[in-house]
Amino acid sequence: MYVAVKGGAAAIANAHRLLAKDRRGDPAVPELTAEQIAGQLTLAVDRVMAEGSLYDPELAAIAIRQARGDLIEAIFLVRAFRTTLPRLGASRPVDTAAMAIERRISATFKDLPGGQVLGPTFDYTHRLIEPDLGAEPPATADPLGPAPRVTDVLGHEGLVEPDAADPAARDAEPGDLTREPLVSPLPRDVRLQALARGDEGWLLGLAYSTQRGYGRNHPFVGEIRTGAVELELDVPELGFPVTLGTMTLTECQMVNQFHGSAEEPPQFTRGYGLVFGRVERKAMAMALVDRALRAGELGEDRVAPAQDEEFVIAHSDNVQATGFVEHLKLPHYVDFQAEAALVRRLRAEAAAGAAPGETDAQEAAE
Amino acid sequence: MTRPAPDPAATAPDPAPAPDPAIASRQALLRTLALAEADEVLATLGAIDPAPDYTVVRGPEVGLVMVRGRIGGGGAPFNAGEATVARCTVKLASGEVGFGHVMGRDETRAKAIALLDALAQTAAHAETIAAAARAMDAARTAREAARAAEVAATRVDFFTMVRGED
Amino acid sequence: MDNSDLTTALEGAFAHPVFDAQAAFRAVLSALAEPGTVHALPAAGPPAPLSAGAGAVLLTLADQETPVYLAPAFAAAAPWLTFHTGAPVTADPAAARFAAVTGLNALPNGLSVGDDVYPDRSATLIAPVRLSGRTLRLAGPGIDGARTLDADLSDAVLARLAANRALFPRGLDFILIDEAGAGVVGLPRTTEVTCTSQ
Repeated sequence: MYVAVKGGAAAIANAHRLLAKDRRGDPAVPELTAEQIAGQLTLAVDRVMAEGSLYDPELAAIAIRQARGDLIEAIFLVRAFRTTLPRLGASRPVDTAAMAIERRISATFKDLPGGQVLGPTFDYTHRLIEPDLGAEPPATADPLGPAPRVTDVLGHEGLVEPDAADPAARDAEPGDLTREPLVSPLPRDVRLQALARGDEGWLLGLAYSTQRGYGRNHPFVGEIRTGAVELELDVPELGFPVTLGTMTLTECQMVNQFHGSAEEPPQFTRGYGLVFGRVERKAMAMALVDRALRAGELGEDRVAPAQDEEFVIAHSDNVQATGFVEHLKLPHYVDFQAEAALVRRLRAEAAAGAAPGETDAQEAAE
Repeated sequence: MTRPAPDPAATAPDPAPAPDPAIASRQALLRTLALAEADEVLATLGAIDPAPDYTVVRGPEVGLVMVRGRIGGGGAPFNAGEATVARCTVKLASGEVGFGHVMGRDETRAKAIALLDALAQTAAHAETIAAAARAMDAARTAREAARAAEVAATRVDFFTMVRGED
Repeated sequence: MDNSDLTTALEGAFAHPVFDAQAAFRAVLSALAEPGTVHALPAAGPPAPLSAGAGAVLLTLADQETPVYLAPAFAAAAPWLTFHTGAPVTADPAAARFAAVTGLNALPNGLSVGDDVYPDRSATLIAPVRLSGRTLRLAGPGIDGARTLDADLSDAVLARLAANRALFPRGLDFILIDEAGAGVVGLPRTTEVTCTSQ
């Protein structure tokens, strides 16, 4: 039971003033601007957009500054902000095949139409701390041709599971967890929505667990691509779709060995990740967890945590998680006193040699 | 490795909009304006002389658009997250109605796009705005090409080594 | 939509969208909280024959996530409604969260009354009413004892309201717009309505 507390207003106001002072840091050092954060801490901004589930780099940068760099706090700020805005509509599905490629790699297919491009990656860096970062002008080369999705290029060989067996599914109206409560079993579209806004650390740990044997699914990176896609919205008054701008996305296609089932021949199945920004680690983890959660659909035994939809999805949202964990630090004096009184009585009974009553034991469990 | 031709059905875009040339050119202008830098849009509007006489019929306002992806890239749609979008609808004194939509929270930019959309429907300004749009398209193409050239320089060819087991 | 529809659609919003919507929301809230009391609505100008009051209520309550059923007589208001509120107009009464009808004696069949788990997933009716003719006695939540309302509701309509009330917690809610002015009266599903005159 919750019991209200009151008071503390002066202390809270002063704590907020102290927070503001510490957030600002040494006044002799110039204040960070949102433009600096958006332009130079890009991947932090991308993570806040992805898990805040709101694409707006400037807003995410402001939130990071306000949160002193605590990204979960920044995500919380972004989530709170989005509740103040009306929903204008839903975009046309973005076309990742038409992405303006910034990075595109495949660990499974060496030669691809459009080439493999590393883009601005940390891969193959030496992980040596460099106090003075230089920025040489980048090299240039002749542009590459179109880069179709690897899964489309190779899908027709039949080795890789196609996108959708049922073409009518392409026009289906997806579920929306921001509007309807989550009820298991969830369709894959809703699971992907939850994973796309889920905590990167949570998904990374779960994905790692599948690799270590808890629901192993033999993954290969079919393709990872990062780049800008155009966003289009159908505007009823105009009767045609209008372009709203571009957004940077990262897409990961995992292909996974599959021995076949009663309905499906042996082939490579797929896990899918799509994340706002350049959040590659998260896109990969999302694809692994997506594939693990398809265990039931593909007739695999559900034996591992990453295959348990209820466990994975219900604990994936870091704003929910932090709210419930962190609420423990708020005053619980009455709850605790009630339990303390109970423990005192039980101890007194135990000291007197009497067995605790059934009723007391039930109370203690609540 | 031989490269099979892409399966056209797998990558087919969504159905094309109505082929009406007036709609197509208006759609193209709105795309140009949404993809242009904010300064370019405001400068184009600022160059309209005399300044247009108009009323705002909706907005400018900021809202959310749910961004949809497709499962696996080409399958059933799913909701990937939201994006902020500013929008505005204006009506010129001469009756033309303009719509502006742009990602982000810049209401001034959305209103400028709406005004240019409306002005482009008037004989007096159609050609000026079309010329500005061509310039904005060229600038954008140049920006994109410069970036694509930098990215292309990171193209990688890995060689598979023979395992030295013998 | 063609240009004439578009022009009609653009006019007739609230003069002050935020303040007028707040005032209309307050009026509807008060009307439903105290059934039988009449509250003034701010001015709106939907395409005729949809009334100004019904337009004000829709501008205030309808949005992208509330499909609206419009009686065939109000078809001309569909582009207006969608432009200003984003609400999809549906021909399927079962899908509608709001329904604007020409009168309480002309309700479409199949309106959702919600279910026992989610009684809120029901339709709210917006209908014109003449606030004279018969004397009605209202009772129920929001009414201390009984309240009197003059309105021309027929016996058939009263029977329909009684049947609706019996569905509780399911049921339709009614937002009635005074034909003579721009006042609003609420008859939520919990209100008992009986006629005390003939």
